[in-house]
Amino acid sequence: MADETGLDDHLARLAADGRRFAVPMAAEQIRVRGDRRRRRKRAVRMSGGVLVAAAVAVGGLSLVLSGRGPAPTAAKPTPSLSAPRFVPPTPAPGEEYAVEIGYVYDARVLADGIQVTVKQLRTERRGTAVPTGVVHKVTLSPQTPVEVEQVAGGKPGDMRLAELVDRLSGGPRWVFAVDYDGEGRIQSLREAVWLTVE
Amino acid sequence: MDEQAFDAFYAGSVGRLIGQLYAMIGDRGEAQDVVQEAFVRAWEHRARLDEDGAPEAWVRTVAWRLAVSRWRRVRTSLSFARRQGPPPNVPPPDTHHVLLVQALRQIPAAQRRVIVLHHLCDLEVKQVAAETNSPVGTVKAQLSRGRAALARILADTELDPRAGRVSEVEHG
Repeated sequence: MADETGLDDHLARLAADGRRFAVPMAAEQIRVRGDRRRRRKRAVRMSGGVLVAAAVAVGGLSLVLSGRGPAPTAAKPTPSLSAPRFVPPTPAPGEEYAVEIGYVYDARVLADGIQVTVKQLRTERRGTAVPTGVVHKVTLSPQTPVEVEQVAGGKPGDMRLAELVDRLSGGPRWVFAVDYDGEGRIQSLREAVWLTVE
Repeated sequence: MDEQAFDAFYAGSVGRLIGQLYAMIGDRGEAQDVVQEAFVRAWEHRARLDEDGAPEAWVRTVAWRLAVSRWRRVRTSLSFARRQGPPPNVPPPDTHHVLLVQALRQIPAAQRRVIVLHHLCDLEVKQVAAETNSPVGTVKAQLSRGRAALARILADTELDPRAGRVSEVEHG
């Protein structure tokens, strides 16, 4: 689309620059990785998900983060506390994560991680959310990454769950987007500062 | 899609998609990472890709989604850095590209995406709306606001259209 600003030309040159210096992997390597992902998911499904998922998460992340301190591990939610029953959301086709919105509170340090309660919310009109009635508990790795803002005093930043236990130990106050991967494990929390609960 | 068809699709579109994602997110290495990761998923879900009928748009959408979340971005980069070793020694982008990338980073991600889809990928507004899963009116508003914001940011720079066209020679 030609325009007076020259935007088309500028963007075309920028994209050509990005293309010129790209060194993409060979197609075969891409296929190998795709096949590996597929096999891994199948193995997780066949094993009931728990042991293999933990091994994949711990093994994979420890390789990626070797030398970078303790590796974050994924967690599977425990059964719901109340009706309606909680079912972990599933990522849409092509998406890596599915999101549950909810208050995250009542944080407690346990032997195997940090247990929090999630009071699920449903987004209604733009920027507002209402409780769905679903409440469930989940135990997460202390290293679970958390994007914070208000809960950390208003300054946007990245923290680990272990650093937020005190602030999340009370009743429902802070709303988060909870990211679930394809195996129903929680990979990260993001404070949902854009939402107002009615 | 069999191996041969996938390899041809990959070879024919990976460079173009990396260029498009670079314009959307402003980081060459990251653009390459997310596009490759999107192709990995494309092969993993190749049956769905066949049904979809627009594989390039599918890969671009997945790559964009991978890029938008900070956490996803960090994981993807770490993962590819481990697999591919240190990045190749490439020259820094030229000043005009730096100016444009900085300007693009100052506008909201959704505006940046629709501007690239419309002005670089040559998609009609209706097609942009379909790819971004947004109403046509929203896309039009985002395009208009994004263009106005870019014009403001680029005013009095070397990319200011009032200063005349950028030399073709300068950009090879």
